[in-house]
Amino acid sequence: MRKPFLFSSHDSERGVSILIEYLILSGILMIFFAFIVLQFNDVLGKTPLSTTMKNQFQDVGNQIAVKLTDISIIAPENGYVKAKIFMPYTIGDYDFKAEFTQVGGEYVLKISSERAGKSEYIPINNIALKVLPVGSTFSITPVHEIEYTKYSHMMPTAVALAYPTTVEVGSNVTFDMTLSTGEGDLWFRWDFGDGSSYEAKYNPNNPSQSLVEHSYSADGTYTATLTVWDSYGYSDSSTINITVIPQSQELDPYLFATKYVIPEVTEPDNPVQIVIYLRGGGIIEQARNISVMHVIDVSGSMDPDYYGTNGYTLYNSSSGTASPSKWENYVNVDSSFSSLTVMAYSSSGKDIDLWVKSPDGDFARAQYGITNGEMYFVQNPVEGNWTISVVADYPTGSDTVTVEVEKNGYFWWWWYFSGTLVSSWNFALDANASIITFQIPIVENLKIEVTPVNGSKELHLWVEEPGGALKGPYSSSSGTYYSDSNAASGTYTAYVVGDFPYGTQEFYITADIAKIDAAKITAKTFNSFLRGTDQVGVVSFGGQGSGGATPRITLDQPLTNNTDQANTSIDGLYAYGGTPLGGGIKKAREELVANTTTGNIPVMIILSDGNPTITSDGQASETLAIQEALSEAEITKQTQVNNESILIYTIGFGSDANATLLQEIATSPDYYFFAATSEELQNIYEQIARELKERAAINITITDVLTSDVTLSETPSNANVSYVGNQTVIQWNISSIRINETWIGSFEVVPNTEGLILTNVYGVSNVTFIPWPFTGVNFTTIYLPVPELNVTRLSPEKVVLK
Amino acid sequence: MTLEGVIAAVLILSVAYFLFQSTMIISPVSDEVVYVQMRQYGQDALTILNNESGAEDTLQYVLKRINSTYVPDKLLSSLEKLLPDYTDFNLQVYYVNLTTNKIEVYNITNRIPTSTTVTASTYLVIRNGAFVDDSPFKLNSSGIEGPNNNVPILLEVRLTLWRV
Amino acid sequence: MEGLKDTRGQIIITMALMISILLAGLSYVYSQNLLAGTETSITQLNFPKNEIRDLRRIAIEELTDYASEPSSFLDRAKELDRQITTLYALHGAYASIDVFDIKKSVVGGQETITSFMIRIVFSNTEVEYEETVLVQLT
Repeated sequence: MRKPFLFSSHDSERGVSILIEYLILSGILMIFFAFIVLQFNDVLGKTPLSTTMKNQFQDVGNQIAVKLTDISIIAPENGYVKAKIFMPYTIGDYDFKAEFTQVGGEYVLKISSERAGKSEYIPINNIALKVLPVGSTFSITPVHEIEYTKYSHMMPTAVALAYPTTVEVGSNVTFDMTLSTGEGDLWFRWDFGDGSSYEAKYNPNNPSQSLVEHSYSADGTYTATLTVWDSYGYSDSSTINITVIPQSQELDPYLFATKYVIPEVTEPDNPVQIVIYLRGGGIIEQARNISVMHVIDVSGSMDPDYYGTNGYTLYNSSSGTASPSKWENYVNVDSSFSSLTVMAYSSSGKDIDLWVKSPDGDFARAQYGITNGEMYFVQNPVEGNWTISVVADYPTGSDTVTVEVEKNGYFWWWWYFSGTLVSSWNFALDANASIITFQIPIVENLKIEVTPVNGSKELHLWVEEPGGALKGPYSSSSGTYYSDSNAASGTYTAYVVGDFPYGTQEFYITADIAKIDAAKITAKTFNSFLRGTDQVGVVSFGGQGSGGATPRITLDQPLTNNTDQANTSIDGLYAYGGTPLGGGIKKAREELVANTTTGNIPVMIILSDGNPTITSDGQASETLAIQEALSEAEITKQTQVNNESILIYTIGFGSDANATLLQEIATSPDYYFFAATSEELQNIYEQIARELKERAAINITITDVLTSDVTLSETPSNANVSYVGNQTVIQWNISSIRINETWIGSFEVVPNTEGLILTNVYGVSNVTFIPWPFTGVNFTTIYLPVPELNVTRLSPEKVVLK
Repeated sequence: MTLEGVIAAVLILSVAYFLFQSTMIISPVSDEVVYVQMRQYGQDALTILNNESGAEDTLQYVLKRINSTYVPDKLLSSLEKLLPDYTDFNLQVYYVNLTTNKIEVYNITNRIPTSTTVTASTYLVIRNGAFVDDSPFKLNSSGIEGPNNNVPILLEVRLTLWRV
Repeated sequence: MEGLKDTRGQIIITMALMISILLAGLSYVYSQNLLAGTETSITQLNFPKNEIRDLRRIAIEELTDYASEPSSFLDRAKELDRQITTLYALHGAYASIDVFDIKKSVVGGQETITSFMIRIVFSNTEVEYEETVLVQLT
């Protein structure tokens, strides 16, 4: 076969010659490589770069977002936070900018680079900040930070109070702004409504200085305005109405009630205080007259002469630390001592104690007595330094004491033969007693006793009576004490001497009097509260005869206006025998029924220190006596004297008193009191006196109904809280409020919404009570005002990126 | 220059091109995230145990009673439950010795870390009088007003965590 | 046969070229990447959120316990402040609490504290924090 001419002799696929093939291929390759190389920048640089830039933008953005979240967690209420942001100067060789902006209605953080034409967006809607951040920063600036600032300021709240709110012409009204609050220094001004005013700076360290007194010269109704302002320029005002009546017009006791919210302007979610304020008003002189029967237990248990130490009650006490009056010195004992003798004696014979301590042992007391002193003797004493202490065992005065140390003395039978004198000292030793004085009135029995506390060192007690006689010593370790019957009144001085050679001893010293004495003293104190128009009488119940089993129920004083006469009859009481309580109640009731002046409140005050033990007809059975007491009390409570019920107060005196029985006898458990000491008894009588005379309102119920706009943050301690629908009902119950007595109920709430909100429901929040003269059963109602709370954002927060 | 060679080169290069185009970026595996997580565990554990409930495993309970013989086993077992299994911890208390005014450390546990550590701290205040008598934190000298029972003592409880 | 040798050589050279380009590109990209992803973690590790919260808790809640003894309250607060500054310095931060404007009320000879202001300050290389709080005691 012949091949075509154009084909070369070689059989191959080549279309061109090797050189041209090489050139064409090179050309194609070069174009190809050029194409690839041009793509290098993009492929190897730009695309990874753009992804990297995107990642890093997101990284910086996340850093800022995370810092923003952390800031919102620790955001202060009143202060600032600055957090540094770390940004590289360039990303991908381009500088960039971070800013807070809005994109399509959503707040975002935008990291962008104009030159590179790239930007990343980090949404920040979910971060819990109430205010959206603003600002921007460039990567080339050296410092970047986010700053959060919030300054809140407590606005001043004026709370205007005055008492009494109804007053006679010319009488002073006290204007009280001390419940007002604010931040920093406060000034206030009262415009009294009659043209006059008063301005001053409020001193929180001494609030009573800011009470202002003002009186009105003409009758009528005045509105007093209180304005309070602080150093930042904010102010608030509040008013109160004063009614002025002509002089000597009758004014019944009344109750004043109002309600405040403090502060009145606040930020959302800040708690505020709601305060309900009640005050009894009126003129005390107008209060009712009373007829009081004292029913006093004069059984044997009220007197230590019959009942022993349980017949005493604490009158006064004190405590102190006794340290001995001591002289100390040392003697060195060496091997030349076959025996050691120490003698101490006083020149005028005052009692001194000698204590000697060996180098390796404790203090030991001298074993022998010598004229005016004591002596210590030991054979073969240990070598070394011996300590000699002389303690003065006398309460007052001073004495010269001689101490002699001998060696090598010896005893033969009971004679002592002196040895060689080694040392001797002569010194004055003053007494160092702790001195406590007691003022004691005339009592039947008085006891003064000293007890060591936190330790048991020996204490000696001397008592100097008002007449000057000095009795003692009484030793605490043997349990002896000073006692006297029919003690004179005056100053009793107790001297407590420490009878130990080292250290100190704390002690507790008590002055006790017989219970019957305490009863007498306090009943007479009660009588001092009575006025000429009141009546007072005394019934005593006790026993007589052998064993005291015969009842002795005496009407010592019929109802009289003459308190001096009543006091004299009280002085004449004496204690003896059993306790016929029922008979005493009956006698007192009969007297009240017979002789109470019309219009007076009949009252019985029963004082007893134990169980009733005999009946009024002489049976010695506790069970029957208790039954009789209860039934007599019941009859008394049902008895009406001039259309008034008899009030029964009972006082349990001392630990043996039967509280359950006495509470049942009293008009209600609130009318029962317990006294352990005579001081407590005194306080109780004073309290009863004040309660009887000065009550302005009784059976008071305060109801506050909160709207759903506020939430109670914690329940007040003495109130009942219940929930009705979406309203919160808080209720307090108090038994009585006296004239010039203040009651405040307060609790904390948190507002739920913003704006002007009402803190309670008008017409429902009220105070109900039985008004003076407490004879009716109709309740009077006062409606509480509705304070408004303004919840607003005063000081916006700011978040700035810079 | 055979065509096969060229085609081979082109093939390899275009593979490389597409690989890069799909942006396979190798970011360095950062240990940081793990450390952040560990620290968060530690911080949370301390916050849970720092409360006034009076339970036997709270920091308050243990630190009031700690001395050379007391072993706070309930606290340590609660900590072990709160921390993840792959960690081990060391617990120390830092405080200011009020007599020398120097910072001192009390080691509740004495473990040695075996890898990189993170720490978490919490603070609490205890009255001086609430410590047992031989507590290392107690200030024993008396002040002018008498024994210092009401001096506040600030304690930093530091938890060191590492991976095992 | 020479063609085969030449081809292998060219492929080898091309491969070498590609690999070196690859390495160059990767190292360039790698250097860019060192910064990615680490910022956020550093933030999480370093933001002193818990220190500040602990400081605030100590200043407000724990210090309130000591307000029941008005005569020694200021001394106790100063004592606590000293310890706070010392211990927080261990972490490289400055922290301090400063009590001022203590308001008291005197009822029947007994003094009680009704409110006090406290300024809490914290500062480290990253964060600066300051807050002034009015603490009311009921």
